[in-house]
Amino acid sequence: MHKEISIAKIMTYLFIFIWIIFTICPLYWLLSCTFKPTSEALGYPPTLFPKNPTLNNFKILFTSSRFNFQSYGNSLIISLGAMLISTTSAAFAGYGLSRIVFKGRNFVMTGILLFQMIPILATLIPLYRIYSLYGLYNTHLGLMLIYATQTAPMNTWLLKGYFDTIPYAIEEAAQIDGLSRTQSLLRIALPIAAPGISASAIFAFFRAWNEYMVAMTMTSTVRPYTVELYRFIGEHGDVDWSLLGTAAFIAVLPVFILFSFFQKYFIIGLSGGAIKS
Amino acid sequence: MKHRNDTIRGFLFIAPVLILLLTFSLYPLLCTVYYSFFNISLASINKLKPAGWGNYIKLFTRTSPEFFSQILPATFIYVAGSVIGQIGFGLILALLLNQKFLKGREIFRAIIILPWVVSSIIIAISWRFMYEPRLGIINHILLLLGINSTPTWLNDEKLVMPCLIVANIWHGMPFSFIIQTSGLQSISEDVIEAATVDGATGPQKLRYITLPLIRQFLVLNLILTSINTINSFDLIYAMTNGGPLYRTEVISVYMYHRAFNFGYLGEGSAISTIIFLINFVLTIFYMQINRNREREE
Repeated sequence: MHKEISIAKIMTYLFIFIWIIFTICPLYWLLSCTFKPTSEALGYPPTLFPKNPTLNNFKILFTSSRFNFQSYGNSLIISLGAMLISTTSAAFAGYGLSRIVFKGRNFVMTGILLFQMIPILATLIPLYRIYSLYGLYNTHLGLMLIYATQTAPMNTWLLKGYFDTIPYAIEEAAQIDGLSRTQSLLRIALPIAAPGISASAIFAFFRAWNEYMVAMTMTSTVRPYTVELYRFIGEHGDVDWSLLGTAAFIAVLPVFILFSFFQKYFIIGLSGGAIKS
Repeated sequence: MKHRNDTIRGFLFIAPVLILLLTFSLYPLLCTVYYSFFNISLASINKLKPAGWGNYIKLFTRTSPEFFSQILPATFIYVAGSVIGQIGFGLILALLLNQKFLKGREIFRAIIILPWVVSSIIIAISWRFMYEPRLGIINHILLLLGINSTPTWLNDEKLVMPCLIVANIWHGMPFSFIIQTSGLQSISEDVIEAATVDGATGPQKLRYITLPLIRQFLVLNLILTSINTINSFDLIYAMTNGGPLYRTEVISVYMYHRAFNFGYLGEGSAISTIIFLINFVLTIFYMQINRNREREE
């Protein structure tokens, strides 16, 4: 009996261990190129750890005109903007849906859920046409608005759920003391719902930070880093994998750092509202 | 009077979200359906020439690639392979990591979820590098093992689809893992303990207690992952761009090619409309299941 259990335990550890190696391998292989000279990164036999660790790739990437560093800045501006628009509008909507009983409320809530299911593939062509005709093509604002639209429905539901858990009595007392509903949202409900706000902000930020297809379609020069990375493979017949790895490393590092601190919020957001927390 | 005020106030609060959704989601969606009956060229985007059902006829009668024998089967295989792999491994890992005796569960979970937070474009690059015939790690390892006739992976007609599915399972599995983990955590420990006391073995407990109790989560997972995979674009576009020989030309990539590479926005809209209809059917299933779940709660 005891022996059986220990075999099961060993198998469990083994399977998890293999999957973890499988998970780490592709990213490690690319990102470790960052610290290897090109000859080593692409040479045979492959090396698990850099033999002569170097920061030279950063220098080459930074000084070469082939990679546009501004693209990280563009991504940052666009993602922060999308985050702000999505979270703010969703906070108001979530609060309204949670606190105010009005005609058509259930209809609106189902509607918002349905909107979330409209895939961007089904709206891309008209958006491109509208953007070209009305000057939103190749602008930060244009991408912010599309990204915010993609995450706003799910954030609305998430935040409505959070506001629902806050007892209304606290706010009623404040409203009797003369606070308007907006003030009561900003001063009382928002601080209590801070975890929900963080989750929705992180969700909105990372959806925008990682997006590629819309960015490729809607920009020519105001490119986010995802488009710049792809262009880097596309334009040159011979891919410089070590420089590409370096560029990817710069984009991924902040994500990993934030993920390690805010894992819980990531999981709430990234599961796409499938799970009620 | 107060009642009417509340209605107005309610709509004021939701107005920003509604405006976003109507302008950047619903309106373009209706345009897509409308455009699918017009010829619109990328070069002169202002002109809409009526085309009737022309775009759909062109789409269904084109021979290279053939819609019904190439695009749809490629899409189906990609979706089926990804969904089965993601849910299967997601469930196995969720079950394994749900066991109390494991040490360091939190760290394992964090690592397993990691691929889900990385941009699909970086994942596409990583896997292209893995599969790269001359420089990639996979062929390097095969060489080290003494295998000299190494495959060309993404350039190989037969291997390209399995290669893509492996990469996509790797990328998307965390989503299933998260859903299944929360499913398992919803089971009360008393039920499992009672079964243990009654002498049920591990496999019996899994078959007769755990799986029936997380059935809802599995179905939800199945639908959401199918929707996600049908709508996924980045990974395939950046890894194979639909090639070689249209082997990986799934419907999303095909839509993009017709619209933005060949410049037929009308035909692209027709394909978009079909993609939307597939989504619509799956969404109805999703809503139905959500409703059942709420009723059970």
